Amino acid sequence: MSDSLQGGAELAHGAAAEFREVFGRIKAEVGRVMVGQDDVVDGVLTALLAGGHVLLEGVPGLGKTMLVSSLGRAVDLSFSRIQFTPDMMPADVRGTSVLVEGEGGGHELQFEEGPIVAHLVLADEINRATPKTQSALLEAMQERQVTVGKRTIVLEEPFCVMATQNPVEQEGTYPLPEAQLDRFLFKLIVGYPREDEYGAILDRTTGDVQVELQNVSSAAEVRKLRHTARQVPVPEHARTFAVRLVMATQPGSDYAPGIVNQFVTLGSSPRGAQALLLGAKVRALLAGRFAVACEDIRAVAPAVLRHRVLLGFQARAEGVTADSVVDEVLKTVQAPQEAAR
Amino acid sequence: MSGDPSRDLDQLAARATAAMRSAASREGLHEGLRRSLPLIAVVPAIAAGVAALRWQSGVAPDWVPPAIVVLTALALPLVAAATASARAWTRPVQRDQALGQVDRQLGLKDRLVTADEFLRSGRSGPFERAAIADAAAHLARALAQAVVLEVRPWNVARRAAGCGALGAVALAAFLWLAARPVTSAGGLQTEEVVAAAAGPALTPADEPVQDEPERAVAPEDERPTDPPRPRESRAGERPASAPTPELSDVVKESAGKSGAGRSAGALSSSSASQSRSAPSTQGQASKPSERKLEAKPSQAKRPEPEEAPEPPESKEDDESGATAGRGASKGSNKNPTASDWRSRDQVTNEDDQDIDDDEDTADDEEEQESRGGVQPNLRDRRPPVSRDLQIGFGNRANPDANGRGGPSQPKKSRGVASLVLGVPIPDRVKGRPGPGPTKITQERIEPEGEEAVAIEASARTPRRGPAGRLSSPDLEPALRDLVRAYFLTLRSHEGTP
Repeated sequence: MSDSLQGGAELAHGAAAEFREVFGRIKAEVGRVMVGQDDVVDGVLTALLAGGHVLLEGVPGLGKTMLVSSLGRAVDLSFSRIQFTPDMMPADVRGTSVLVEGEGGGHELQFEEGPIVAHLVLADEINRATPKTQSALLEAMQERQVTVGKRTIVLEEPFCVMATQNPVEQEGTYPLPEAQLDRFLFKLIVGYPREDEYGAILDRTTGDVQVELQNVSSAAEVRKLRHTARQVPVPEHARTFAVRLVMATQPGSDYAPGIVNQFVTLGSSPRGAQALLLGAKVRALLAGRFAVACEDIRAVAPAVLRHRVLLGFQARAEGVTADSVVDEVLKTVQAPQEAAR
Repeated sequence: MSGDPSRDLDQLAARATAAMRSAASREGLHEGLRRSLPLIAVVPAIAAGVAALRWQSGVAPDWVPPAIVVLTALALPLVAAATASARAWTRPVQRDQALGQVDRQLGLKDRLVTADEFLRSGRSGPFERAAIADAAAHLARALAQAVVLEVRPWNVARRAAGCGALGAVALAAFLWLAARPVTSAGGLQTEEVVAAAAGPALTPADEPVQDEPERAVAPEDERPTDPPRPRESRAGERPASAPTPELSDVVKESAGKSGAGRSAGALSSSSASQSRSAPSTQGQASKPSERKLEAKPSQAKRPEPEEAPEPPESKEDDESGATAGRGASKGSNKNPTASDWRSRDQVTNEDDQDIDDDEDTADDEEEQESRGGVQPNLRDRRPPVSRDLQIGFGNRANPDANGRGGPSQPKKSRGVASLVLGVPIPDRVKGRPGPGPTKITQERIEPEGEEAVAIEASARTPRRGPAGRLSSPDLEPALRDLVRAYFLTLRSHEGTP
């Protein structure tokens, strides 16, 4: 093997090793508070390092809020929590101008930033706010900036919105619009803990000992890891596979299986393909590889696509879920190098 | 292993391509054989069919040697399988498919495909180089191992056994047919034809000739119920009946015609039913058929010379039978010009008419019963809605409160009400801490007794007539199932969190 090849690869090896090390450090620190839910913790960290936002869905009491707040403490990020309620207004999220008294006795309007101006924003029970307030997040999540009147505030990187919603109490809620859902990189389903995890949960939450989380990383380090993740190359076959997967969720496309044509009203947008590759890049680094493989795309596909597939009335009537549609898509679509003999 | 990843990948791709072609060829052979196995049965069956046709038409049935049939039946599947195998072998295998196969076999997560793509595309970033170096570390293991492809196991034994058995049966049939002697044009064997021709000579002299008139009369209980007999048995009977020159004309005419042995009545009824059951042949098409049907009874009645011409009743029967198939234009409808759609338009649903009539009658009865023609209908008698603006009597609850303003709470005064005497005006705004003084202006009036005519209540009976038509939206079955499934799904999810 040529020396040049080895020499050039050293940089990537070092960056990948650092990536894995920081990832493991943050995960271990969060794990001091959060028991179990490895998949969810991995998904949240993957989204944070891929530069995306996460929608956490689960019944109350499973630790969604605690996970995000623990992450904010483990990584030295400015953290803010917004408890969404039906009477919230967009100004409550973005901020507004208030009249303050100056030193000389005069008054002046001064802009007070809203809680959206932070590194890590926990939008708790986001579906309880009206669409008007929910849409206050749109610009922040996509353009990483907030516009209030004539003032535009550029949000500092890393900026990550982690929203939670409850799937059962649907009375008085406002389901997130498609444009809002599409801006979330992952939608993670938080399930019940396993039997062996209950003991640790009870010990940690009912004892006298309070766990104090330490800052094991920083905003600058997260920015660096994001840069590393974006450097991971995507080979042609993996990119083709991601495109085919996204197209397969669109009814009427060449790759759409029957279940999509029958039950899906709206498929994934190109943002879905972007999210597939960004998530797969982080996963490839964590797996010790230096390029995205189709397996990485398959692994992140459910979290990426389940909220981007809009099911019709017939699907709800027949009990077809978005996850079952994505599973069928994954079974049907083949990568180019996996074509049948 | 050469140390050059590019060259090693070439070598690996070539090996994997050869292995994939070999596996595809084997699968093609298997698939071709599986598909063409029915030829083992089809070829002898075709041979037997052709032999049967030739035998029927009096040509020698052994048109092909049996050995040829057997060889063809065995060779055709082999040829088809070999063709499929060759086609699979020549199918091109992409390089990334070959390397992807090795990746999958060794669990390398696309490392080889990715490295090959980076090497060929010339991408040389640090991560690309790291990916190539990573793949190179696994190349030695990949080159050391043979490319093994999973080929589906052969499962043609059962199919082959079935097709072989069928082929054997078809071959046996072919051999049996080929061994049969040549037949005449009518399908009779040559010997039988000869025997039939010589029938009168071979007939015993004491054969009872008295049977012939009985056959000529065609007894109704024997002939129609006779099952179709095989040729041999008919040929065996022929010396007794067929060659006799005294065979009557009736028998000759009636032979082979359906219904020839029936009685006249049966024929007339069958003709009528035929005409009734064929409404599409009304109009000009029905007349020839009538003539045809009328001809048959006359044939059957010919042996009875003393029988009189048909009575007028039977003519009427025939006519009515004939018109039955013509629809409304000549049937019960008196209007000969009425067309079919017009008569359909005039159809009324008797059930609906009955319901409407019942309802009207019931309403009339009810009215008669309740008021006797004099009293008002007390059915919906309720106290009239209170229009009184008086909403309370000081601290007492308003006895006439009807819930319109809430349960006897004093209302906020309205502009108009304050001008009316006797109306208490609670000067209070609900929710205010200091409501202010309440000013009540009330007219004191001595209560006077009122007398009202007592109205006797009459015993009411439940409604006896039909309730009338209840509207029920008719959904299509598919939509109804869909809605039902939707609510069942909703209900099943109600228990789960």
